[in-house]
Amino acid sequence: MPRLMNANDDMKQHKLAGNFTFSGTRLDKLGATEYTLATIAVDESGSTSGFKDELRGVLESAVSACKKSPRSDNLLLRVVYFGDSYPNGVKEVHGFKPLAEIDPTQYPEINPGGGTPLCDATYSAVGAMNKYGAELKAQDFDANGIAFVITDGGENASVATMNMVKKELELSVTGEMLESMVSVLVGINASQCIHLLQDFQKKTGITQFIDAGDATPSKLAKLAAFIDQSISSQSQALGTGGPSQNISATI
Amino acid sequence: MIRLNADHYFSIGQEHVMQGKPCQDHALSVTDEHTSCAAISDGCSAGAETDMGARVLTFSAIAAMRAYHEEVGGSICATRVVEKVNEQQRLVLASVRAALSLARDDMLATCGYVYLTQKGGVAHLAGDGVIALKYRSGNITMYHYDWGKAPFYPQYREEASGAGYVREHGTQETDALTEEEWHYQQGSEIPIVRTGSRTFTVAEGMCGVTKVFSKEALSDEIDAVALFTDGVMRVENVEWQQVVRELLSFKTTAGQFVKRRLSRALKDFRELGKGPLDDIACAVVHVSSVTNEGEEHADTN
Repeated sequence: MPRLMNANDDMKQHKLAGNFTFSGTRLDKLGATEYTLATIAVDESGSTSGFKDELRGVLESAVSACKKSPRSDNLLLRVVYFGDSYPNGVKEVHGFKPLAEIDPTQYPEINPGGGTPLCDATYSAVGAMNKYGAELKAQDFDANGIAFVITDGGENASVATMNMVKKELELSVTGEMLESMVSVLVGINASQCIHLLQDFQKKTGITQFIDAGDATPSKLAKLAAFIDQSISSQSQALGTGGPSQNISATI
Repeated sequence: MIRLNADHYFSIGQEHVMQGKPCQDHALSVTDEHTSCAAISDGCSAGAETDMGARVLTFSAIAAMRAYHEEVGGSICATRVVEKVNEQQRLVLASVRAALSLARDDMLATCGYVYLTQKGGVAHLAGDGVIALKYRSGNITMYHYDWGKAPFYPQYREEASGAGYVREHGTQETDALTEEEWHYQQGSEIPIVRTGSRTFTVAEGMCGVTKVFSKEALSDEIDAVALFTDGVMRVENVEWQQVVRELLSFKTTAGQFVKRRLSRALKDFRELGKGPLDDIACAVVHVSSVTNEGEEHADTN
């Protein structure tokens, strides 16, 4: 995966609480005045095996669409896969980087296996945006954020706790680190655990839960379009002081 | 070897917002592999559609500096650069006025510009405003130029060598333009002090003021050359020297570094009062020395 994974002098490693880490483009390499930080966390637990290629296709389509956005120069994207085979439940495919440096066709295959560390994925997504957003702010950049956690099952394998996720999400909407932050929990093929996911959303304070339905080609295409439109919408809201009001409540 | 990077920003002042007037200041900059050009202009409030004049002057100054570079390469002759800009502006002001049926009063605006190359550079200001030099040490020298009455705008060059302007000010020998030099020294007990002043006659002022930078000064000492319109003098509850210092406190210098800094600083000023009462334009060329390995050395205090 040369365009995504290679060690790059332009990237810097950061630490979060516990042993969570993330990477982001060095701030002295960023030229714009403002950025929307976007994170897509994709479930790699065993139950996604029936639609793993389609799930990867959603990621590729969504990122390809984002690259065509008029706001693409103002987006920094991070992609993680989550599953309990990884330390802290999360594998960073790439840290926050400009879309121009990302080739969506190079995203690695999803290798399903094990449980669903939903807290780890959400904590990593939101915690990294909080920390990187605070650094951007300190260096005169304006920044807001949007995170998608795409899963087909409820929490069952995390190192991070629900309380850790809740605290990071509370921090993300104070305006001290990011101008605004939207978090979206997406359930796909998750009809058996809708209540678990709704409960997770309520307890942690995730902005929105979306049931994307079954993993059919048409539903997955709609999910990719939803991610692209939501990122664009949140990016256009940057500078208004609040989150986008135009993110759809359904797919 | 030095690396040059230019950026600019302009912002409407509170008074023009309240009066429903447009921002009458403008700034522009371009950078390529060998040169950086940046320009500012302040449209006269008592004129007419002077936002047009301000834009005509910044665009024509940049075009002239680029044309100069194409003609002579990286060599610098400050007098010739200024002559080239004057010639170009004379032609462009006349042709734009004719093409758009603009009045003389629409063209009344100041003009300042910076032109830096690997071999040296020049900064020039025709009208009120500030030229500031930031050094790699973090220290800053600021030159504030103030015409007591209306400045000698570039448009006046059109009018019989400014004869009418001279009559209004007395004679060519009348004192008309003052320069105040201030210095900010990092870590000093009294960090900002006035270090000099001088007066220019009408005849001298009509030529504008010029600062010349050697190749050595750019490679060893200078971190940034900045130009500001006189809007920096009118930020509520903040001394103008402090305004300049804040606006030059770049955190990083890639891409739109001036836009980032001014955008944040103006927001901070608005927490101390009404913020900028007048329009502000700023253009900066940042200079960093580069080793053979391509490593940059520049302070961004």
